[in-house]
Amino acid sequence: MYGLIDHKDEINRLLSRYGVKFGIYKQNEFHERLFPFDTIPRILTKDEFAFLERGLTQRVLALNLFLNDIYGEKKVLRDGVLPEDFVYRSTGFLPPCEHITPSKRVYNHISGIDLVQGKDLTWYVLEDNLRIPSGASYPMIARDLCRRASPSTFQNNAVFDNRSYGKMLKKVLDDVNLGGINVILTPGRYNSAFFEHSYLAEQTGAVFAMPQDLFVEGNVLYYSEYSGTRRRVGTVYRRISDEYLDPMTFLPESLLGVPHLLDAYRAGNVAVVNAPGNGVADDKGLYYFVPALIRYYLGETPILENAPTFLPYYEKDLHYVLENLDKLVIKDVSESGGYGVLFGSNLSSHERETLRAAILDCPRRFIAQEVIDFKDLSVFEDGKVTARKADLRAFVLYGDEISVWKGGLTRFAREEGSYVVNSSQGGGFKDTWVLSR
Amino acid sequence: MQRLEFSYSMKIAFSSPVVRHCFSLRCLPFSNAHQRVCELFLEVSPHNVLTETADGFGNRILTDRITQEHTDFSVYVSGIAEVDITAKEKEELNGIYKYPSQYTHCGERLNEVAEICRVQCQGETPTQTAGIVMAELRRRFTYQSGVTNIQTTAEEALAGGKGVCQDYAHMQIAVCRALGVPARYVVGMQEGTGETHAWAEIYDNGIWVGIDPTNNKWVDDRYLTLSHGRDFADCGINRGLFIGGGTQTQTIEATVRVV
Repeated sequence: MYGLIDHKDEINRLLSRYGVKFGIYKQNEFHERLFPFDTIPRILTKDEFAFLERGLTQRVLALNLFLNDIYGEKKVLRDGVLPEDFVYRSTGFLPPCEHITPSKRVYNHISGIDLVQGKDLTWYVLEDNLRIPSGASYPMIARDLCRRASPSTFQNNAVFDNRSYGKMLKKVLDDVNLGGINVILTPGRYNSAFFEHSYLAEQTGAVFAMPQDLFVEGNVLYYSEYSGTRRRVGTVYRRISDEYLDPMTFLPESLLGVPHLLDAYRAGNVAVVNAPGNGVADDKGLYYFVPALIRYYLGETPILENAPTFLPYYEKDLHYVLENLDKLVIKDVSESGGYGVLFGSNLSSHERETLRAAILDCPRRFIAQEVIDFKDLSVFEDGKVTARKADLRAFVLYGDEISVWKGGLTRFAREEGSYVVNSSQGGGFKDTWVLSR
Repeated sequence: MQRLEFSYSMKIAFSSPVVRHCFSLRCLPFSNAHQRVCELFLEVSPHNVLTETADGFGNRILTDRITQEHTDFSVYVSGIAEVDITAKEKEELNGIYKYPSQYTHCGERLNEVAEICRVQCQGETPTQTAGIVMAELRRRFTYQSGVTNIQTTAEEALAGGKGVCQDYAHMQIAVCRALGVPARYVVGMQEGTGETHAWAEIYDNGIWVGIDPTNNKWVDDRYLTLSHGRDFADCGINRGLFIGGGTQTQTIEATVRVV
């Protein structure tokens, strides 16, 4: 696993030449930054991956059943499994999406499930990302470059080829296609994951489109070619978030969206990947209920555990959270990308008081989690091997069937001892090797 | 039961040509248990491939995308409808109508009204509660056009003390929801000639009961419904997007006559 260390600089140089970058917004300014790659892979044994695969499949299946239910019959609310506040007050719940049946009844075609492994080797799910999870392209291209730099490494280790992601994604886009071409819709080059959008278009053979290339007429989505010819679109893998997707339904000021796209989707003429409205299921507040949803929809015991979580919405948890702020991680349910995550122990007493007041004012806005002592991973930094906290984003694809990608994005914290691994917060990444024997 | 002859006309004149004009129109009355559309005439000019669809709230929408240059856009709808509010049928409640929405968040002022009403509404039915809320709001608010605009929230309207039907409806909805009475926003037309109108409906024992706080009355058979939703944002009669246009002048005339 250390065989690639000597190639670290070379591979990072190539990554930068290929434009493997991540954009960050800070104080309203856009900064494009290289996504630092560490050559020491995270290794998952065959058995370990098989376990994760079972757990992830179960979780993604239950979340899709929940989405079908919540935009349809809402049995889960009538049966009292989940307090309705967590749906109706969620900014991710989109009433304009009610009673739409997506192609093949799939909402979360691409799920990015964030996991961490504790020191006791237990895996915990930290977050479900069901809107537009990004990151698959980074380990794909990194693997490609590693293979070129050191072919022998992959002859000597039995590692599954992670470059199959393109084929898996294409199959999902084809499975749900409602007649027409596949399109990947990007908001443009100022999006933080623009590299990924173009790379995935290349890998899946989908047409790479900007918003102005698409239009809806008669409830059908078309791609307009440079020559003026129109081609019907059967699947749009959109990398634009829900609120900007269709200015006729959502934010009217959006210039990134395609007017009437939601009408075409509602009419059943185009598959939208992932489905609009998924935010209700990956809300940090809803996360608390995922194990209950697995039991409710599947009648099974959850295979993967949630990190121990408290919900201040419940009186008993509220007291515990307020008493133990210094031991907990407090997360604002409406934020993502590592924003709105506070470690109680790092707060000044004034900050702690402000947080306490905010929790008391609107308990539903927060969840609190115990700090998991992550297992450290080795990272090569400043000429030596050292330890960093890391997580794993597993990608689960859902078309005709559910499959877990034999790979994944391992992100590590830049600072020693830090638990924040998000790329938008300056973290780096590693390849994830799934061993084939 | 009333038989209503209605017409709605909207004309927009752009000072310079527009292209790629997309629009969604919520101007077609729908038929349900208590409102039956007997005759309907529609004219949209210019148009390309006019498509009828629905939204998540059950409203009828007409959509289109006009590619050619134009400086005038007009919509004309007319017809005959029969309205009988005693024929309303029980409906299952959609939970979203219990919670605050974009325009109906309660701030300090609306909460104050809600607290005053809460005392008076002890043990009252949702309908009685809505009546009390209407009276309290009307004490603090007077009708005046040109003070508020389509972006004014219920809280902002109340702070200003003056506004139009949209503001009355939003405030009514905000306070009712705060008191635990589900409420929704309705756009339609009332007897007479003028602009379109907005009011509220509150959910009482399975029935959506119409209340018109602007006119201090309960909605009767002389009101025609075009659309409903959480608030104004869900019910725009004409939502459009285009390139170009300079300034635009809009003329609207809505007429309802009992026949």
